[in-house]
Amino acid sequence: MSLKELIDKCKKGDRKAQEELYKQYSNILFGICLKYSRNKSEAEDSLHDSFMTIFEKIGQYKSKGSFEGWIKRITINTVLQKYRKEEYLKVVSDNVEEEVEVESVYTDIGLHTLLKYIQELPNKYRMTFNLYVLDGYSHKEISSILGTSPGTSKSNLARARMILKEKIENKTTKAIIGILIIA
Amino acid sequence: MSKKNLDKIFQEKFSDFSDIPTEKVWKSIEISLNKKKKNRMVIPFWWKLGGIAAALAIGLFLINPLKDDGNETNTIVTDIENVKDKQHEDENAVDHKPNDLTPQVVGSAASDNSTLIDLDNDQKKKSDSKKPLETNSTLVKHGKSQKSADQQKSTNSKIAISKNEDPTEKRNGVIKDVISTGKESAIVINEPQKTENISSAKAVNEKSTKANTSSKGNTEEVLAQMNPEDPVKEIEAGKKSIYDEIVEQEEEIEVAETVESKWSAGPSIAPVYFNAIGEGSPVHSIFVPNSKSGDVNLSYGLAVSYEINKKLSIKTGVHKVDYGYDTNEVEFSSTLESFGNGQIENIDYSSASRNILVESKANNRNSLTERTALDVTAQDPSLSGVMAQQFGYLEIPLELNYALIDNKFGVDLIGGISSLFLVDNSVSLTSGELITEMGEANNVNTINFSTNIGFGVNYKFSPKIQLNIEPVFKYQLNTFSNTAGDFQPFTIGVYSGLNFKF
Repeated sequence: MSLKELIDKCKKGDRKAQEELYKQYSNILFGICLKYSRNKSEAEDSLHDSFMTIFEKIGQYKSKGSFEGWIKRITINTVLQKYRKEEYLKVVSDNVEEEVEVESVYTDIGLHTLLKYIQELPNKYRMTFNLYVLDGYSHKEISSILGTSPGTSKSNLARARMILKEKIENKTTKAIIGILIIA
Repeated sequence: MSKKNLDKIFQEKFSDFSDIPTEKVWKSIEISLNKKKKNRMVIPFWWKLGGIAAALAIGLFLINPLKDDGNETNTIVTDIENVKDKQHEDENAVDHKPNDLTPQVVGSAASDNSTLIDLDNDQKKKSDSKKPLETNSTLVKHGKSQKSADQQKSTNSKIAISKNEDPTEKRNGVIKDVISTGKESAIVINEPQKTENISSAKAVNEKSTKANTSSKGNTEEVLAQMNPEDPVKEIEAGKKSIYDEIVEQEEEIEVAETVESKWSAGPSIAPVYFNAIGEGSPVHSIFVPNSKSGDVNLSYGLAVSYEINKKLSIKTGVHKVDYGYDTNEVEFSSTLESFGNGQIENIDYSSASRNILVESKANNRNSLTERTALDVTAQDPSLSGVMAQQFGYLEIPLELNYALIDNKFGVDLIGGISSLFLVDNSVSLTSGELITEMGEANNVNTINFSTNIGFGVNYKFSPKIQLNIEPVFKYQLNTFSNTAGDFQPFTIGVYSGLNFKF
């Protein structure tokens, strides 16, 4: 079944087609949910809500852009919506570096560890980091999505980077110390 | 040691990042989809019914009034024609009189116990006949009984014709009076004959009778006066005069005007107070002891009514109505973990408020405090406030109005039912100035009914426009599918609006 046929059937509410669509896209959308959520359980909640929105609004998809792009945007919006009303942490300082670099010795860290670091970020930092670094949104777009100013968005990103850097370097340092102790 | 950009580390690792969700996600999606499908199945069915009702109402409006108009017009016109027929018959009767002269009339009238005897005896006397039809029939019988006189009519040429004309003129006068006085009281003055017959008759027949009576009474005078005009009247006698035609047209206009319009419509607006009888809660059993308060909201729409008869009318329309209901003394908090078992079953939480936990303060339970105490990351202590529920409906009432007083100022008794279609449903939490959307109640029926009773006072500015003020009590039959405790919602609204007849 082609994607177009699948979408058409979903528009008619065909349950099998909906299940097929879920099978095809749930993994990639769950990846997005994991990045933007604080834990797996919340990510699954968001995945549920995202698919409900997708099935509800699939009639509005006019095949103009990429379907995958469309459902990704819905998913990101759904997760953002979830955290939008929660109080975001206030920005501490605006004097932050644009580029954050880490020693290459620290860079070989597993995906799940990095995911954990992202999930541990406070809401607004996590959202900003994901949107800007991993999903290519501009500060202007982020500020309009999150209802902040582009300056705040930049500060949030910088804070996120600093926290992540600290976490990576700490972990690696601890690992090296551990190896040395064992040796 | 070379340095690597932090962003790149993440971008490399997270390009095409995906993971497999647990199976329960699809199952929960399936359950939600099934639930939505059920809701969708119900709504179109009721909307279809609503559509049919609306189509019927429009159909009634388009077809019925025209039919009614036609019937009424015909009826009235027929009556007038009957009068004319009778007058024609009467003419015959009158025609004979000059030939046969009074003795015969008296003779036949006397046999019928008719008022004609009096009339003949006292020809210029006011006629107060209360048996117009009988009188007519008497005259007709009299006319028929003297068929031989008809033959004489032709031989009597001028005299007969001039007399023939005489009632025609009177008839015009009568009809004219009927129209100008609205069929209530008429003064028939037969100027040419110098006869002043003042009648207070209420029926057209009566008047025609009087006309005839007067003509009989003045037979001789008429003869003398009418003779000079004979040639002209001879020609006119056979056909309808122009004056007749005009009169007939006027009659039709009059008839059209007197047909009362049965349909009326107009805007209506009302403050509506929603509350409930009983101690229960529409939300959850934990809120049963809480104090609750109803809100005053606005209802507005269009009311259409059809007058079945003078006393009774049926009313429908479409109203948008909002109901508000507050549960006081609640406390709520946002928690970092979702408490599946802490959520209220009757509420579908919106995605943004999935982590809100609501408890009753009046219930003396401290589960919320306990939970938030354990939750060290909670930024705010629990907030106390009000849980506000808002329901928006499209209301289609079907009510009977019975007029107790129907003057310029009127009083109606109102009773009926309403169908309410849910269009808006939200639950929010309010604490001071902070308002948090919580989600929507899932135990609110998409269609529910109410029984309505009330009374209305109205004031007619003109026959076409009236002002209504109607306090109506509406008892809700099935607003909620699942409530805790005894909870019987009702509304009180004071509906006011203008009504235009068309």
